[in-house]
Formats: sequence, structure tokens, C-alpha cells
Amino acid sequence: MLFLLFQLDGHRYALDGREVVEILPLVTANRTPHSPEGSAGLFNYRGRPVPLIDLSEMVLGRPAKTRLSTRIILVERKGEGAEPRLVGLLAEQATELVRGDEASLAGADAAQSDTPYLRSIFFGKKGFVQRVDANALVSHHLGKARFGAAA
Amino acid sequence: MTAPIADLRAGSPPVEACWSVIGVSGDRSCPELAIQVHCRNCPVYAGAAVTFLDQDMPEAYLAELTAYVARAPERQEGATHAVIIFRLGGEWLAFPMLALEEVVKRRPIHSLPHRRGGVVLGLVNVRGALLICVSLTRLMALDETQEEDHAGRRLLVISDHGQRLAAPVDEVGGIFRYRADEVKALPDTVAKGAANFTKATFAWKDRTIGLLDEQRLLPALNRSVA
Repeated sequence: MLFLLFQLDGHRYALDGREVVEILPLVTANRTPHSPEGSAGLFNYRGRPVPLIDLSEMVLGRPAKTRLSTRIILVERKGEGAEPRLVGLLAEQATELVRGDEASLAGADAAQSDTPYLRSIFFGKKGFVQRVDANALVSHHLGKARFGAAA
Repeated sequence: MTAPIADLRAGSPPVEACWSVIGVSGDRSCPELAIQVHCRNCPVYAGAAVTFLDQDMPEAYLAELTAYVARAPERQEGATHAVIIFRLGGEWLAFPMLALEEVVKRRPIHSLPHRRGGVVLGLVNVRGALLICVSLTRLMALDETQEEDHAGRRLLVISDHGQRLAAPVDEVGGIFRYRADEVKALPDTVAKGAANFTKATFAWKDRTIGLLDEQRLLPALNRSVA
């Protein structure tokens, strides 16, 4: 299995490569007024509007740095019945791919009710890596955005 | 996309470029080379790439990338036909990839007795197989100007129902895919000529390429060999 690594404040996270449609460079997104925390707005992806979720803002409460290493991970959100929709995840230091097989990646499951998108932790070459389920993350974010942070 | 690389280098923190001192671009004295073989496998090199990418995004570059990602993909509809483009003297021609087996470097042609001056030039050795070498220039009655002598000359190996022939060309332009609506038919007055093997023309770079008709060319080649 191939994983895409990104970082949030020094902590390393991994997305399953099969969930990734494309890695895009950082682009300017149109942030809509009253957008909830974590929503970086919409960006133009080959002529169609795609929502962008800023992982740094969502998890750390600060927008992602405008660096060359900050990239947009384009994932497909599988809705119920509806056609898959694209969502961009803005991630810092998304510069590395790692290979690993399912068995060696088994580790402590870190999923909790308030972070249902976190999966097992495995030990990479440079330290612990937390697996992230992109679909669960997007659903979680959209759910929060829809019902408000107070819910 | 044309990335302003020079601007990016100016903004990046200085990196100790050991690969150009003791690595593959330097004197190769780095002890790690024995293990890593090439600098691109070395973690130091990868680390330098991460440092390079960890610089602030120049605003002009961000705007350029935004425009790049926003651009709709070019529409590529309809079946395409792959051809190999080559030059014979002053003529640029194209031949279907389906009938091409390989392109090899020029090699000596061993002429055959009693077969001088015709379309058959002789025999060539292509990986141990002796192939009949034919002159497309003579077959198509193109201008036989002075024999060119430069490193760009190649030999096309053409395959027609198992029959393999070699044909020297002066230059190979590359492989090109055209769509049916990109070619222009020839005027009838030209197309009906007896020695004409071109069925259409299309534009490639800033040139007009004659698309050869393999239905007429291959039988003619086979007849000339017999």
C-alpha cells in the first residue's frame, strides 16, 4: 500500500494512496463569508468549483502556511447514491510517499467519537505516523459545518 | 507550465549541495555512494528537497499555479492515429506506427550484385537478421541530392505481414498522434499521380508533413523487392 504523508505541527499523518485522486499545488481559494472553521472556501479545479478543507485550521486552529510544500490533496468523497464529489484537503508538508503493507501497519486504533477519521498509528522511518481516513474526515467536517460547531 | 525556477532558488534557504562536491556531480568521494549508488537515493538529497520546498510561496507563483489548476483540460476527442515522422532529403513524411517495427541507427549497407541503382539498396544486419534495405527516396522518385552524412540518420524497420524491410531516412522527427479532423486531403490533381504515395498532409511543429499511404507504399515496396 502506498501512503501520502503530511504533517500538522510536527505530527505525521498518512492518507491511503487509493483515496487520492491528484496532488495539486497550493492555489488561491475563494473563501466565502461565514464559512465555518476549517473551510478554506472553493477553488477552481479545471473549470469546476471544488471545496477546500484546511486541515491545519481544522485541527490546529491556524490556517496552513503558504509554502511550496503545502499542497492540495484531491480526494473523492463517496456519497450515498450520488456521484462521487471531489474535495480538496489543504495539507502542510505533503511531500512524501511511503510504502507499507497492511499487516505491518496494524497498530493502536485511535478513533474516538470526536475524531472518527483517525485510524491506526504505525511506526514509520522517522517516527509515529497516524493514518487518516479521508472520507470520514470530510464527512466529519461537513457534518460539523452543517450543524454548527455548537452541536 | 513554466515555473519561475530562478525565483524559487533565490528564495530558498541555502542548501549544502554535497552532491556537487563529493557526490555524483562532484568527485564521487562520498563514502555513502558505495551504499546509495546515486545521490538521488540518498536521504541527504531528499532532505535538501524538503528544505527547498519548505520555503514561502512567492505570490506570483501562487497566482500562476492557481491559473494553471483552473485551466480546463484540452479536449482530446476521437480516435488518434500514431505515425512516425521522418525526413528524406527536403521532404518531411509520416508513416503509420502500426507498420513500423523499430528505428535503429544507420549501419553499413551491403550492396547486392546486379541490384545496383534500383530501389533495393542491399542488405543490412539488424540484430543478426539480414534485412533487405530499400530506398524510399528512389521508390517515390524524390530528389536524390547528395548523400547526407550526420549522426541523425536512422534506419526504419518496416514490417508488412511478416515481411521486414529496412529503409534509411535522414532524420526522425518523432512519434505524433493526429486526429482524423487534423489532416487535409490532397488535391485530386496531385493525389492521382502514379508515383504519389501521400494520401494527406497535416501540420507538425511549423512544417507540413506528407502522410504516406501504407496501402499503396507497402505493395509497391514488395514489388520492387521481388
